[in-house]
Amino acid sequence: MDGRASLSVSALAKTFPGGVRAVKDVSFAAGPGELVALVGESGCGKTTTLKCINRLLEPSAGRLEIGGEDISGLDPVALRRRIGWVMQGDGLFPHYTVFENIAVVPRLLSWDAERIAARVDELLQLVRLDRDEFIHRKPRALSGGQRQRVGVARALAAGPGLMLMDEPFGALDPITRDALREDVAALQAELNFAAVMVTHDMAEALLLATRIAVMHQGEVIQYDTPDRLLAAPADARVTRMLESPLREAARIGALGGGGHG
Amino acid sequence: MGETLQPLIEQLPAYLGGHIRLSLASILTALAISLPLGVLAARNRTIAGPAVTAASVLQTIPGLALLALMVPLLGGMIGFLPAYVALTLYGILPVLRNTIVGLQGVDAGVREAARGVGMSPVQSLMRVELPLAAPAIVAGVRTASVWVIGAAVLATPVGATSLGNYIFSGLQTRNWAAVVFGCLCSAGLAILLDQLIRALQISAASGKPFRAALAGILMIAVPAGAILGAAALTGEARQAVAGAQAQAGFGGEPVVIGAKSFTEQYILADVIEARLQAAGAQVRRRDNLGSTVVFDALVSGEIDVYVDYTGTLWANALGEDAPVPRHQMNAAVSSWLYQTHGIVSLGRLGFENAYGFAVSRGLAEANNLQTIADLQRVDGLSVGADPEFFSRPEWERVRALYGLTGVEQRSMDSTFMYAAARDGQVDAVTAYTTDGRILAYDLAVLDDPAGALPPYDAILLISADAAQRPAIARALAPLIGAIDAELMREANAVVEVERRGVGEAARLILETLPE
Repeated sequence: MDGRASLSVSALAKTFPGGVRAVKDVSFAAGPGELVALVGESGCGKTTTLKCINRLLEPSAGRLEIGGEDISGLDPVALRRRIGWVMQGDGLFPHYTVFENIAVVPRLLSWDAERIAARVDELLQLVRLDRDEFIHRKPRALSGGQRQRVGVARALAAGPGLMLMDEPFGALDPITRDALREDVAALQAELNFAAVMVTHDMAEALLLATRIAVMHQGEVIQYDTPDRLLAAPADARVTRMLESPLREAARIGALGGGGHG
Repeated sequence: MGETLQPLIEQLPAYLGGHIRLSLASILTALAISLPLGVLAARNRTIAGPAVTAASVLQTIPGLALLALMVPLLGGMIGFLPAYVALTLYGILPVLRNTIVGLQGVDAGVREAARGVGMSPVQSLMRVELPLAAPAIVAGVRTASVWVIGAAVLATPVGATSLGNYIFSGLQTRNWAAVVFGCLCSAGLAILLDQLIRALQISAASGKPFRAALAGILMIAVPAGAILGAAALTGEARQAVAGAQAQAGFGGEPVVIGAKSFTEQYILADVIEARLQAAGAQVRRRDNLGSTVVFDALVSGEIDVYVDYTGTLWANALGEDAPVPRHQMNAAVSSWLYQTHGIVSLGRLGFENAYGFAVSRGLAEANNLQTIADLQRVDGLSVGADPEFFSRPEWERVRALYGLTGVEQRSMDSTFMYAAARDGQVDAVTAYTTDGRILAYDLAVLDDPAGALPPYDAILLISADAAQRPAIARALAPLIGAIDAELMREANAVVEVERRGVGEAARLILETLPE
């Protein structure tokens, strides 16, 4: 995939067959190199929103554009091959080796074997996994962090202009999580893709996102940059979500600056 | 030992070939049905419930019953087809169940990942779901293979050649070597196929395509060789004989001789075969058919000739229960057969193989047993009989006419009845009156003054089709009235008491016939 795509979501809504309105009137946009974080508690509609973008769920209303093109008329299967998808957990195929997992989308796109092999090598380097050590391993022989790196490599394999990440760092230990966050941020800076990340961790959103959409009961209650979110929370609910990361930051700051020496 | 094994090994290509052909065709068809059905059912619970229930119900039907049921369901057809259909049904459940369980066991996250990366539903199924469900599915295939190969021995009574031919005829002629040989071959075949599939799975899973290919080729080559070999043999034989046969007036097709599964039937089929061959006919045998199967097969023209007994037809085919005198029954049966099915009775062979209540000489003398009614005097009377007898109307009648109450019924294979009576395991058995073992074991046959047991005259029947080929009736005519009870009992004793071959017993009868 060559061109860097931007994503625009306007007035997205999703009502499930039972009548549950999981997403109501959600709008946001991510340009090349930008990362929009969807933040909120479980059940706020953030994952549903994400799945509407690659049409794992069919939106009930609203307009979705990728690179300026309305995607509602596209074949969902072809569409998904153009969008990188990093799943909650890792979503690797347990019967595939690292190589086969990363090669899955290029193979679906019928790349020739040589190009796929070169691409897999390149991606392993990008996600900082030693090629010779890992390329023939099955997912069960990897640590959680290694698996998530393979997941990121798989999502990047066909060079998508848009990456969708659903709690990509949720299942990792703090040190691994931190390292991987840094790497993903570096990758995005290098590859310049647009990204949407779902997380329930406000601190993570503040650290990584260009803009944050705070969601509550299917609606975006504030959509702003991290700076402005911190400076001017829209209401008490946003304030409450900011409390925990701010308190932690304050305590860590106090530890560093206020020692008894 | 060599003498025992020699004839068994000579029959092996035909029996083993038939067995492999039948089981493999059934297993492959069962796969072709249950895999797609399992895939559908795994995605659609409204299919899964009924499909698994139906397959489970089929599985609870005893194999022998399922096979025998196929004959009337397929309009009296015998041989490969009913066995194939029944075994296919038998093989469906394990694969279906394991396919559903295997597919439903695939992690939902992995399924979503497959969609999420852009696999179509078919790609997700072929590349992710089926490979992940493969261990469960292959386990189901292995179970089905072992079941089907085991159950295929039961194809013999519906007229399909299988390793069961050793077992069924071995049981009847008390050739235990044949029974054991048949069982061992069938078990060996089941283990072999099971291990081949296992090897195929292991090498496929461990990414050794060469070994997987080798196992795959073996799996196809072995049965293919068996099939082609058998086909080539029969093809040659057919070509060679067809010309000569047509000249002799038997038509183009071989004459098919049926036989039920007991010694007397094998001997008579041998006698019929010898007569027809001497007259220039090409002959095929269908031994070990069930009692109703063989009649259905004659009606449908699957077989051309066999020997049945008037009393059996009177009860089972005509559905009559009150006995009538011998000649009346014979006439009624013959005309019913002709008018209803176009079957021609060539006449009585000359002997009767009736049921008779036989007791050991010791028991008879101790209780002074003369007639069936005297059995009242035996405390806790137990009667052994073939399973058919206890459901026949004459058993009702015997109990009613002779006041036998509280009888312990013991169903057993007819092979074991005589020894059971001799050894006192049961008090009385419903012996076949021509059986050689009545004399050999010194059993006493009790009188039936009230005529509760109908006559069982042996009659030679030919199908409506065979009746159009007069050479058949001409070749068999000398048998009519030529075999009396004494001769038949002697011939039976050759096999059952002296433990010599069916062929020798048949020769004993053939030698008495005028040329």
